[in-house]
Amino acid sequence: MQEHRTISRRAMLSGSAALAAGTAIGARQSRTFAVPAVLQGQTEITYWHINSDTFGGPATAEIVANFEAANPDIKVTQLFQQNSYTGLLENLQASLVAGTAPDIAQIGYLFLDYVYNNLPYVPLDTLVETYDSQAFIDGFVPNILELASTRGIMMGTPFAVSAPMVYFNADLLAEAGLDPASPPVTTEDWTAASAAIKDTNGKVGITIQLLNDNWTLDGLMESNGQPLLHCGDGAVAVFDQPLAVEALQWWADLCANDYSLNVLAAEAQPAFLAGETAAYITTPAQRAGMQEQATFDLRATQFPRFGDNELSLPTGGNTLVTFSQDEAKQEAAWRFIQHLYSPESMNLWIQGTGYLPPREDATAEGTELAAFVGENAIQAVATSQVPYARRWITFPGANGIEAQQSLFEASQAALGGQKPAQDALTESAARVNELIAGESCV
Amino acid sequence: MALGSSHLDLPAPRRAGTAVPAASRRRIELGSVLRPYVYLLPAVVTLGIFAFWPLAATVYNSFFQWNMVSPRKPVGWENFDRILTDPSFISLLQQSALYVVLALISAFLLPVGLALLTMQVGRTAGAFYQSVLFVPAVISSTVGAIIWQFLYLQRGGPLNAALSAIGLEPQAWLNDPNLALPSLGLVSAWKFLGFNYIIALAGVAGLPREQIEAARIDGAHGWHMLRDVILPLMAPTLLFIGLTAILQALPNVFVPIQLLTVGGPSGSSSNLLYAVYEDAFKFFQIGRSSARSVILVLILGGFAIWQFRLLEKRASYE
Repeated sequence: MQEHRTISRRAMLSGSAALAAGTAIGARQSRTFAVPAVLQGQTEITYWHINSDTFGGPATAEIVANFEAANPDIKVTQLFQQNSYTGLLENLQASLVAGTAPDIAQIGYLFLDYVYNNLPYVPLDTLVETYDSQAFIDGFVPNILELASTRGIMMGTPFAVSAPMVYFNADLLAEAGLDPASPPVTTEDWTAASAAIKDTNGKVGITIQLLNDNWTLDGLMESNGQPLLHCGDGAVAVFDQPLAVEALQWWADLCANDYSLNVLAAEAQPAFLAGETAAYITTPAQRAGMQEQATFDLRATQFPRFGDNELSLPTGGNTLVTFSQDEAKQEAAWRFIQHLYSPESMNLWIQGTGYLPPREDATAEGTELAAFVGENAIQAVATSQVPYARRWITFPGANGIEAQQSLFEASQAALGGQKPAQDALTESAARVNELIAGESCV
Repeated sequence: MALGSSHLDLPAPRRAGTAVPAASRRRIELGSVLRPYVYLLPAVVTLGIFAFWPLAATVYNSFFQWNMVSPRKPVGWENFDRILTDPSFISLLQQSALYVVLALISAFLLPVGLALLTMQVGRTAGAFYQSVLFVPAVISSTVGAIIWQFLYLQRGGPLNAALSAIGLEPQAWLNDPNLALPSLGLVSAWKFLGFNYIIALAGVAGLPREQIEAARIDGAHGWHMLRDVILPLMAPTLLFIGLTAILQALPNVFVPIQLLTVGGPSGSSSNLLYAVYEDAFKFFQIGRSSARSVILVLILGGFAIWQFRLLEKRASYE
């Protein structure tokens, strides 16, 4: 018969106590003990953003630190949200239900209508009137300020502003016999350049950011002269029309010929930085991170044009929307928001990302940012596209996000060669029209 | 000993001729009856809060249109109707079934096979294989998925580099609709094989040696030993591993899907469980998500009950 080893009660209790003590000591040493803000007489506010360590995170941290130093009565907890604006919105919705919503959040322009319809935000006009801040609002570039509105309501203040552009590896272009000082301009130019790059060094020519927000696809279709939606009595999806189909088919043909990588953005950017693709279309907000990580001659040029058509680029980025219902937190949040737009903060923000400044005073003559924009060639390309920036198309209504997903899946089917662009877009347009039936454009 | 009674229940012996007062007798009987339920109460309360109540709430929400913030709007059976008549439902079912098949191979057949093989090698080698196979189980799912994202890189990834080195075409592991699902299944297999392997190993180690020796003396060996002696003796362990492999097939692959393909390309790597998540947290359609959950519970629950009845008859308990 087996002997059973038993543990005495004393041994059990001493062991448990030792374990508990060890855990407590370890926890104590593993983080700095912080006095809660409320005990220090501070108002604590929470700021949700999508700025990772390589995408504006350090700039955000510095801006917050500067604000807290100048405003010792306010504590700002800034929290990074995974998976961009989509992930932030998912977490925001859950947090509102749980009663732990942030005071300020970066809401992607694409989601303003959803927030308007569904979430308890504080309209900008309320804040301006309560805190007598019209002078602050008057400092915004008018057409940029308008981006932060939906259905005539100002949701917040535009913070991040960008339009997709082309980053390229000048070394790879030169190896393929192309002139990096005169990069391709039109879609035809890029097709020819990609062929040359593939033949010369086996690399991919131009990869386009692929995300389920359809940002770059929107840019391609509208730049070829076809908006995604027709806004008459109601919103109607028209991205199955010839010019839109042509735009997606151009992209699909690039993938079919190995001139472009058909991969999600999370794989595309590392591939570009690793020198596997000679060019990459993405947001100027990646500029700072790209310039830090690139081991080649990194340059930029404008978004590809379709023949002589003028560019029409969806403005990406976000609006700072306030969700504070508590008066003290709301005031603290508004003070922090105004700090985010100070020339010093804008300087840190724009240099630390690559976004475009939403306020005129940020790049006034003599400012550090004005000098930076003048010297940084890649930032200059981003700035040169401002005249072509317009509102990012939102599929309206409660099913708008699902409609967006349908278009994304259609684009994937075309890019992967499973369906011709026409078939994929026709099916998707029918589906989207079911989802947005009865809705008006926003 | 009957349920509810123990030697502590019996009152002190009384002298002959004295009777137990009726009130005391009733208290003792009530205590005996209630005691087991009191012991079960913490578990029942915990299950009630974290399992049964959410399930009831899910069934309730499935009859509404709701986004967690605005008031609920009753829609009757509309959510179920939309799901069952959606063209994507069949492909989601098929893809879910494929994930289950892959899980059966990687989280049932392989661990059991490896456990049986491990028992054939020496102690040192056995310990080595146990360590190596269990390492992925202690790595977080997120970190594991990111590791595999690197391995699967279409350009510059080690897998494609290895294929190119032997003259094969590089593959779009995560971006080809025919490859995305099995690629994700492989990530899940790598992560969870080790855990089930350890369970299978424990099952093998616990087999009664006398019966195996007796069978060997009677002439059983090789395939006959495995089929007629070892596997039947392992039946309870096999039942547990098999059932958990099936029931955990979809949850185990959730993180890789979310991080690597977000259900694409074109929904080809999605499954019923991921669609529940998308409905709830991407499209904010809680009612439809709840309806989908109910359908999933019915499918998996029905399967689990059927499997239990089928295999329990064959499970041999000592």
